[in-house]
Amino acid sequence: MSETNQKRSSTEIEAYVKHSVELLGLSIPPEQWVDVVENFDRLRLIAQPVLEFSLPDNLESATRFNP
Amino acid sequence: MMLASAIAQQVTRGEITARSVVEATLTRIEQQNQQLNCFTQVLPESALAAANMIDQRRSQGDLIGPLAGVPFAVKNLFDIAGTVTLAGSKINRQNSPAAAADATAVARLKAAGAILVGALNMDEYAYGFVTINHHYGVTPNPHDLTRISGGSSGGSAAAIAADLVPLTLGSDTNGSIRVPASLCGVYGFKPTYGRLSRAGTYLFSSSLDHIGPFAKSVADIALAFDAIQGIDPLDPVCSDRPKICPDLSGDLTGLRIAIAGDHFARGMTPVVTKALTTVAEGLNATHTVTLPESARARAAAYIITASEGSQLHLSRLQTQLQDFDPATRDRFVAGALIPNSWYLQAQRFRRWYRDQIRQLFNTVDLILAPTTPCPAPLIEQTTMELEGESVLIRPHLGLYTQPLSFIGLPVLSVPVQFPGELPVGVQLIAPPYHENTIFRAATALEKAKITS
Repeated sequence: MSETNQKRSSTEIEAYVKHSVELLGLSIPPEQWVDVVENFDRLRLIAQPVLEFSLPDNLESATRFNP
Repeated sequence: MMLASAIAQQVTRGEITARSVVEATLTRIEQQNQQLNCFTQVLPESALAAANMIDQRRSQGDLIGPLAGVPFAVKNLFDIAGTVTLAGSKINRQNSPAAAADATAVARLKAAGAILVGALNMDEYAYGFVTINHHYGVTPNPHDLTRISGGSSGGSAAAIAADLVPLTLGSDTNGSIRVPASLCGVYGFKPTYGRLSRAGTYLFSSSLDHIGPFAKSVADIALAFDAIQGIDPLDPVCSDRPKICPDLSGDLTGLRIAIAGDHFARGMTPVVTKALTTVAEGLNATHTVTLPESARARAAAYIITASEGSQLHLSRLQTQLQDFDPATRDRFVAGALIPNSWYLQAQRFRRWYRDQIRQLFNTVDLILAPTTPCPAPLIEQTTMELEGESVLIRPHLGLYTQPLSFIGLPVLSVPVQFPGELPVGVQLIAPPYHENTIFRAATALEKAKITS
């Protein structure tokens, strides 16, 4: 990823976090903001290889619900 | 401290009383807990009353159970009737009512004659591998008090290592039984997902949560497993499979045993390699198998854990954010923001990975892997050097455990310790519901004195 993309991505991540936090009714003090964004960005990086993995459409998750 | 099995035998034969065992246990806890900080609550009155009852029943000729007089303690996310289930948090202490009943596992151990003596420290809401708890303090490693005991069931592992009690229970979502078992040099067992009831435990991530015992011998682990196993309608994921009779023969005949390669063969310190090699030689395991896409499996476990754990706590994140442990708070907030598509992809990948490993188990009966990439780090240490790269210690401790709990495989971490070294663990991994394969191999290692 280029430096430009990283910067743009960082801005997008901050915007996503800001809007999502508001939507969920969370109130984050300014001094915690950087840590929350960093933690979310870490999760985003962790999720990438999972999201990039191609799965067949007919593969269901193994959830268990007994009606 | 005697092993649980020895205590039960001697109490049953009348050679010692349950009361004397419990009194000695309470004295040890009183003398050492200030330094070791394993217990967040001790229950002397109810423990002594239970011990008196065991002794009275024995004198009347009643059956007193396979764990008669064995003191045990539980991670403080297990319900104990009449006390608040802390789950390592300040929030629960302030807001939650006392539990109305014991967790199923606690009740079943008691029914087998074991005596509950208290509750044990953990990472807040089980979200951690270190047992450095902002509200209840650090539980240091009994082998070296400047080091961590691991987590999140650190109190459960350290209490065994320090001989405070012979039997404890913990929970494991991504490695929280196996990681502290490795760092503290004790046995830690996570049976198949759903094999042991989680009813009455404070969950973290239901898709991945397991419970299991810690002890200092394979027989003690098997005794606890046997007492707890069985159907429980109170836990919706509890298996309805028949109970098994633990096989402690140590017979390896016919077992195909292999070493996990690829993801599980990278990133460990030399003493971990030495421990794995020693266990592999003890079991005559020479060939290597690949568990495909295990790094991705670990990542998917991460996403599921963060998403489910954060959703569980969302209302408290909205109203009591500053009452969370700073070590978990921002991670919980971040997890609450995970898009649904990430979570669902991780769940679908879980099914894919499970299918791959099921196929692999057509060719092998038991797989060996390291439990942790290193022995216990220092309490204040945040990074470590591995293969020339600096990595964050806290998440890295789950490197080898997370892919396995992700698909609910039964795993026992067996302790290995070389002279002058800190202990480390090796994972014995079996196909789902094949706990007896693990018991056989672990018994063989124990008989050969390879595990300590």
